Amino acid sequence: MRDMLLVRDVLDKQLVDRRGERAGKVDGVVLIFSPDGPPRVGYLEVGAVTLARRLGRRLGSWASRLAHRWGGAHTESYRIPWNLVRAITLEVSVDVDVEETRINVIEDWLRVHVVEHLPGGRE
Amino acid sequence: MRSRLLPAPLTGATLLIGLASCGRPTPRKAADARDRAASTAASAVMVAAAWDSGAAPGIYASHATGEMSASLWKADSAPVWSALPDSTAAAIHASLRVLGTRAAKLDSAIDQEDRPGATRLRTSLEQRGRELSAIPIDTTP
Amino acid sequence: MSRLIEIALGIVTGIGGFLEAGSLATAAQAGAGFRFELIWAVILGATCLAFLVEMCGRLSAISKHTVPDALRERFGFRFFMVPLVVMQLVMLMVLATELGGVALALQMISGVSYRWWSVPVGLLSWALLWKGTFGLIEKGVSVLGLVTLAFVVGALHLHPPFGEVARGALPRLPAHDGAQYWFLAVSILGASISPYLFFFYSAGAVEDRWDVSHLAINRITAGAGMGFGGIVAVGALVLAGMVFHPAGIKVDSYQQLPLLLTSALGHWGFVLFVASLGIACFGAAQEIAVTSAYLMAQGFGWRWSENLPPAEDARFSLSYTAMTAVACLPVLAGVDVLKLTNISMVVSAASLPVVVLPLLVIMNDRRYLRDYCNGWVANTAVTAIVLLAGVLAVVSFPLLIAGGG
Repeated sequence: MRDMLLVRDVLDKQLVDRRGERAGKVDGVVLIFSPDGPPRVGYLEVGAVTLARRLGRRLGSWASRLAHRWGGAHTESYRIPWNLVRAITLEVSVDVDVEETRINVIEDWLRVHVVEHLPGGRE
Repeated sequence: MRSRLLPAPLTGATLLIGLASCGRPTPRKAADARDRAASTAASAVMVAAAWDSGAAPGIYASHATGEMSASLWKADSAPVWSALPDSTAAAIHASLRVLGTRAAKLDSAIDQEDRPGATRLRTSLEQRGRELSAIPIDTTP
Repeated sequence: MSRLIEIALGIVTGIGGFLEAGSLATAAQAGAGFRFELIWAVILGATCLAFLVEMCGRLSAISKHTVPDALRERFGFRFFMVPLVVMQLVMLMVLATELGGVALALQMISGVSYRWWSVPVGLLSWALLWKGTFGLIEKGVSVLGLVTLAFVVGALHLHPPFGEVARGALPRLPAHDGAQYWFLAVSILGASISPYLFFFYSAGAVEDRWDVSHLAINRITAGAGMGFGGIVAVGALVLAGMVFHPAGIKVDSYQQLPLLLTSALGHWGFVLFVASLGIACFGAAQEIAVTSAYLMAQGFGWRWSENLPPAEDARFSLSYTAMTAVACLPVLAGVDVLKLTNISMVVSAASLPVVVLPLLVIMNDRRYLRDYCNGWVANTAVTAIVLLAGVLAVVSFPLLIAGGG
């Protein structure tokens, strides 16, 4: 049983889904505090709002407001439950399919609304 | 810590750039400007020679000499000559005006494929350019 | 592909891809102003580049991660913002100068002002990235870039005094114009040791799926490719030293540069010059634009590959699209391309510490490199480069003011 340092080994590492696709970097690690028992790792967070918050509180609240305006139903960063983590090497492998999450929602939006309108964009 | 070390030199540098660009004319700067103008004239001569020997096409040679002529005219109206004594400044102004005009005429000659005219202008530019370099500027502080 | 062909291609790519607007302009200015005295700066730059590129290739081959990946993963997002922002600004400036270089080459043969060429050139560059693959960018334009060997041929044609050329390879103090001399030395180093080159090379190693078996190719490509590439820049410098210096001509415009090759090779010289300028700058423009996208995508963990169609990596593709579009603007507006080149080379030199210092740390991290961490030679080299980069960062802006333009 080896030690793991959350910031050194998990935070900012590349996330890889169950098909080996890149699924963003670990933008945040969320600990859960409960009245019964010690704090434990709850989720990994992926999203621009989390990144903005790491740069500063004001930037974070501004990003949050933007996400509220544009994000529709989803305004917070996407959370991956800790128990879906399968392996941690140079990357963090998680048992999700990135297509089924909203991690790539901006990617998909850009593909539909921009890339496919440019010549040669539909492949 | 690293991210805080970086912006400081950059801000300082921006200030320095701002200050330096409003530098006062000095004899040293005037000497540099004179040398650059002479260099421009010599470049125009070299371009014309390359065109004459068939190495450079007219499209390029004409455009290049035109730009060099504009550069010489710009040097004529530069404020840097005010650092010099009146007689020196006058000589330089006269020289730059002649060089600018000759280079512009060279541009037209190349455009019209006037080889003898271009050769005459080229020789004249070369000589006047050397005269410009020879105008003495006292740069001792 | 057999390993021998890969090695040959790697060396060819290094040579053909070395010269671009910055290295050409700085070499020409150095030769015109100081004859052969600054050859040592070109050699020093190429040597440092060779060491750094070898390290980046090794990092990617062993860890399958790129330099931008490692910059964020190892140092965190807040630190990563510094190289991200700095490098994007530097790359934007350098990309604008490369697009300007291509536009100027087209102006020289067409008579149509380079400003009009900026958008068509930008569009062509974008289209090749959009539809092309990594192999096309890496090998295609670099092989065409071999035309820049014309500078070496031209220099030899003029029978330079080899004794003096050899003496120029040793660093020495300037006899005159100290500020201008050191300004050019810094610019030459900034032009050779460009961080975008390491990012591009490291991404390429991942695109080409390098592994442990590629380490030898990596070392040869880096050493011989970058090393011989430096010879092309030396060729341009020697030409300027023989053509401009005796006539007292200082280089202050790209318009003077065709004279380097027309003096040596006559009419073919002009054709070869325009081809060299156009192809070398175009190749560099492609590399820089795609590298700016690599930096974004790898820093934020997006899907990325030049071998994927844009529909499958929209953010990556739109990154280089936006970068190319913005970079067209200065040229369209009529910026003085030589002045922009000089400024961007100095800014590039000043930005080096932000990349090489973290690289020193990463190259000794066993989690990335396992048994292939830096040995004492590589560590000595990169430490020396870090110190050099520190000096450059401090002196570059003052020198730009005192000695530039």
